[in-house]
Amino acid sequence: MKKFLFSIAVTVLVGMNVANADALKNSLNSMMHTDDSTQMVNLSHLNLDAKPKVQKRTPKKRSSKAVVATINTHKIRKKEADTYLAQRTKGKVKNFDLLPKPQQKRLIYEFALPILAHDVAKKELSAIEQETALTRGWMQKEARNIKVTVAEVNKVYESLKQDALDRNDTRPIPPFVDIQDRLHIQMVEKLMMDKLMKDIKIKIVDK
Amino acid sequence: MKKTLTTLGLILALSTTATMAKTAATVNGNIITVEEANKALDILTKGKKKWKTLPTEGKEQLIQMMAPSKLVAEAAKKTLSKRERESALSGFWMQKKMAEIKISDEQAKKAYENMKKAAAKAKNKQAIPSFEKAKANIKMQMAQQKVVGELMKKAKIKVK
Repeated sequence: MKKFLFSIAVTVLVGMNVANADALKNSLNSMMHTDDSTQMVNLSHLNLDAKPKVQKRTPKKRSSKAVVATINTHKIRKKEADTYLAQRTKGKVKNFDLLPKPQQKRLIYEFALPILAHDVAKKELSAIEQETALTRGWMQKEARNIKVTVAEVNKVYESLKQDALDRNDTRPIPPFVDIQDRLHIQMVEKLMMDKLMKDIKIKIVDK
Repeated sequence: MKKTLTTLGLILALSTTATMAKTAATVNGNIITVEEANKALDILTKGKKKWKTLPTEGKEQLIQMMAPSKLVAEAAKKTLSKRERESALSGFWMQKKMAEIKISDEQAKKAYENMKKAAAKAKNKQAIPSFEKAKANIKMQMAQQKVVGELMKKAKIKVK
């Protein structure tokens, strides 16, 4: 049951991340793939007789400590917005103030989601649920650091298959591809538990 | 004076409760109380056995079973960063909320047909999976949209 819940949690989280990424990605993609022409100024269309035009919008020059947005009571500093933008555009755009206003808004709305969810989570989740959430978070983090190759999973599969054949088990044996992912999760979990239980010291106090 | 006495009374009451929580065993120095052990026994034996009546061997077995969750909980408390904690809590809350939302097959089918139409309009050449294959995913996305929508509706966001 625990393993089943764990695998569901991993699947849902991966799905959520992918879905969240889409909205901003689409809007920022066009900007990322447009050639940056700001390095050179094309003067060929310059009309020397025309009246000077005031530039409509100059990017703001704000310090990294400036508050660029508020999410309920949370103040978002420019530095945080810049970091998030750089992360979302894989380092291609790093200055929040250079984004057009609608994209700034979209970025902040995306940035707001985990903050708002965390605020509500702290209010609504019981102490046990919060502990479960942290436990799950730790297990997912640990699982990411444990590498199990396909060859290793296959080796375990073959050995399990051989065991079943030796026992004359009449149940059909599923093909490797069908259970590869489940087996992989089980192996990662086992390695995690082995690491955790290594050198464990148990003392019964109330005998 | 009255306030001081009340505060002292509370501290005393809390410390008495802490002392009353009898230690059943320790796992790498982390305490498992008799109450926790009894809770685990309630689940495992459907209330048939109590810590007090367990033989030493049984007690060891039970603590061995409880040890991983105790160690994981302790490791989570000690090693997760502030950001990781926040992310774990918000992720858990999202999943809980999403699980509470029921999307009918009809609603999912409607969304699927709309997506199919949009793909055809955009002349998308990618193969579209059958409704049965995509159903669970569509339902999850719709539930997520509802949760996010509700969350955003109540939020006050200002971009300066």
